[in-house]
Formats: sequence, structure tokens, C-alpha cells
Amino acid sequence: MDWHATCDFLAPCFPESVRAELMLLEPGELREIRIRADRPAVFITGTRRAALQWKPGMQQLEALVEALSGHSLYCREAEAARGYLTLCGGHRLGFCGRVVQHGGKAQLAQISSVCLRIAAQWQGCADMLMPLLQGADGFGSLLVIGPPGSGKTTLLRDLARQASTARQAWQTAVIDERGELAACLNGVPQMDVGSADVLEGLAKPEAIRWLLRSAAPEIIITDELADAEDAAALADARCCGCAVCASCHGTSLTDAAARPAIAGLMAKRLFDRYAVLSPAGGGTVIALHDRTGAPLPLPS
Amino acid sequence: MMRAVSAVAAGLLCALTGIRNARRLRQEAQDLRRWQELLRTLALILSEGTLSIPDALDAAADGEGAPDKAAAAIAEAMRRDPLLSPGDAFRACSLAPQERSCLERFFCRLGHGTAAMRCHAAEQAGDELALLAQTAAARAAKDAKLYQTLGLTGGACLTLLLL
Repeated sequence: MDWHATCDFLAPCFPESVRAELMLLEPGELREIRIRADRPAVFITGTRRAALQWKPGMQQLEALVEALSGHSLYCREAEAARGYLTLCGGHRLGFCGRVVQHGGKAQLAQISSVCLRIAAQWQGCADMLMPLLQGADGFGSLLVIGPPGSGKTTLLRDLARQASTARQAWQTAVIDERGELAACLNGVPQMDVGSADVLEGLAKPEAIRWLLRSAAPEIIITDELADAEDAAALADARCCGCAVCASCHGTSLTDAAARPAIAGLMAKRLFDRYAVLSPAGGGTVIALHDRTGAPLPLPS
Repeated sequence: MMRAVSAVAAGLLCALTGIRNARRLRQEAQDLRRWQELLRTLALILSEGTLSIPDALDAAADGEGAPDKAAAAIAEAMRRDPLLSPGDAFRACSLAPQERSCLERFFCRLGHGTAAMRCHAAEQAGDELALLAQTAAARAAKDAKLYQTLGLTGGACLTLLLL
């Protein structure tokens, strides 16, 4: 969804004062809108935080959430119970507030603040990596390392798009456990992941078994390697002949290697390449390493 | 000549008034029955939990009567202005007073709460409207024919008197 379509979607959901501020922004500038009950709403861009005049009450906040969800909040309770909703265009609406336990399930009883993250798709940010991963023997495996906001998800998304639509057209599958890579709405990816098969909302171990049975992927792309279970699942996928591309938090290869789950995969030489991203964002690669961890020159 | 025409016109006016009142009573009963059916359908659609509120209203309002048009208008208003709640959109509708308060309560509840709460609101409003529809049907059965007869008889008598 481009900026104009985003404005067309967001503007009717906000009061006139906020709409006017929205129209003053440049395409790609807005990253988040944070709205808290009885506090000024805040626009967050890449370079600044701007507090607005609008201070919504609880009722206005509830009306905003209903409007952004297209008045379908009632039928997306399971999704809302995870703390977020994926909106049209791939934008993400996160909630905070009072949660109650009802029948063993957590239910958001009252919303006191929301965080609207504007989806960003930077097509071409994986251009540098594609030639390094595509080979005569198949597609290479990649671990993307970066701090929060560096563009790991953005990079993996573009990798999925390019790999699935390249001349070779690799059979690509995306495990979108938290709905951030493809941002599916009613099962339809809102972000461009090319011709990749998307499996949303399933933990990695189960998702990999599912994909190997159903989609015969050549490449599996997933984000946020968190623990030993995720690492073991990726190792299984490699044993089945799939290339895997994943991400983890860290500022350098050494940082990532300090985590036991990642260290185990590195020791097994599971990944063919390691890419370290700049904290500035946008999926910019600042360092490359080969499967042994030796640094590689960055392509010009 | 003019006197004859006036007499006939007065008689016709009286008869038409009677017929119109009778038709109004029957239409009110029909509209209440239609609202009750519409809300029952809406409760089923809400329980499936696949459509947004405006889409659910459109799906339930598949007839041609005034209740269907009102529900479709509420859905359209919510789409045009996403910040409008179902209750606010309903208040812009002009409806007869007997069903207005029941439906206003329902549409206010339709914009809040869990899926189960909204379904329950639709079912409760349907039950309330069923009682109103029963009363209106009984009144129509009793009074509609009376109004019609009074109108026709009164019109004939008026015509004769004026002639």
C-alpha cells in the first residue's frame, strides 16, 4: 500500500485535526502513531516525535479501534488476544489496556493505548544478497543479525519476494509466526512476498513440519530465532534439503554467537552467509560473513 | 355542478383517510415482523464471526421493505464515516417511535463488547420486537378494518349530506 492509499485508509478514522497533520507528512516519513487515553497522540517519524493537539478519551479510543478494524473487532477476538490486529495494507495495530481471563482465555476488556505501526516495504533492499545466495548448487542459507528497527523483517520480506519471483523462481515458503513478514489479512498477504507460500500464526517447529509435508519448499524464510526449539526446527529443515533464511537480534556476529541457540547452529555451519544490519534501519547490510564466520567484502 | 364535485371529493377524501390509516396499521405490524426477522438473521451472521458490522447488516437486510432500507442506510453511513458507531448511525434514521427505542438500545450495544455480547443483543432486541410485532398485529387485525369501514361509510354519508 503506497502512502496515498495509506492516507486514504487512515484519514477517515481520525478527527479533522489529526487528518490535517497526516497530510503534511512526506511519503515514507511516518513510522508509528501512538495514541493513549487522555494523553496527546504522537506521530513518530525516523527523525522526531511530534505530539498532537488531539487527546482522545477512552470512548474515542474505542471508536478509533473500531474504525481502523472496519468494525470487525468483534470477529477478530483471537487475533486481538495476541495483542495486535493486522490492518488493511499490512499496518499493525497493537493494544495495551486491561486484560481479563475469561474461560481460560485472555480477553482485552478495555483498551487504554494503541500503537499503529505503519507498514514499510522497501523493495530492492535484498538486491545485494541475492547474487551471494543463488548458486548452481541451490539457494544458500542466511542469518540476518540486527538490533530492533534495523530492518531485519523488511530484508527477509524482500528476500522472499525476490527468491519466489526470480528467473529461477525458487519454491519459497514464509513462516510468519507473528504476522509481521507477510501481514496477512483474512489469509491474504498485505505485504508483497511475491509467489511465496505463507503459513501464519504457527510456531516454527510445527510450521516447518507442515510446510515440508504440504508445500515442498526449497527455501524457508522465517524471522526471530528465539530459542533452542526454533534452532532445532531450522536444523531439521536443513537436513531435509531446504535453505533457511532467518533473523536474530544482535549488533554483530559475536553478539549473535553469544546466544546458545545460535552458537549451536553456527557450529554446525547451518548458515552459508551471515549479514549484519545497520542500526539506522532500512535493511542496510554493513557486514557480511561466510559460513565459518570469516568476514567477506561487501559487494560494491 | 361544483357542489356535486365537492361532495364527491369530500367523500373520497374521507374514504381514502380511512383506507390509509388501515394500511398504516398493517404496514407497522409488517415492519415490526420484518425487523424481528432481520435481527434474527443478524444474530446468526454475528455468531459466525466472519463479516464486519456493516457487511453483516447488508447481508441481513436482503429484503425490499423499510427495515431493510434502514439497515442498509446504517451500514452505508458507517462505511462513509468509519468513526460513526452503529448507535450514531441509527440515530440519523427516521423510524416510528414504537420500535425506535428498542432498536436504538440494540444499535448502541452492537458497537461494543465481544462477539457473544453483540449476538446476545441482537437476540434480545429480536425478542422485544416479537412482542411489539404481536401487539401491532393484534391492533391491526382489530382496528384496520374498523378504520377502513369508518372511512368508506363516513365518506358515503358525507357525500350524501353535501349533496
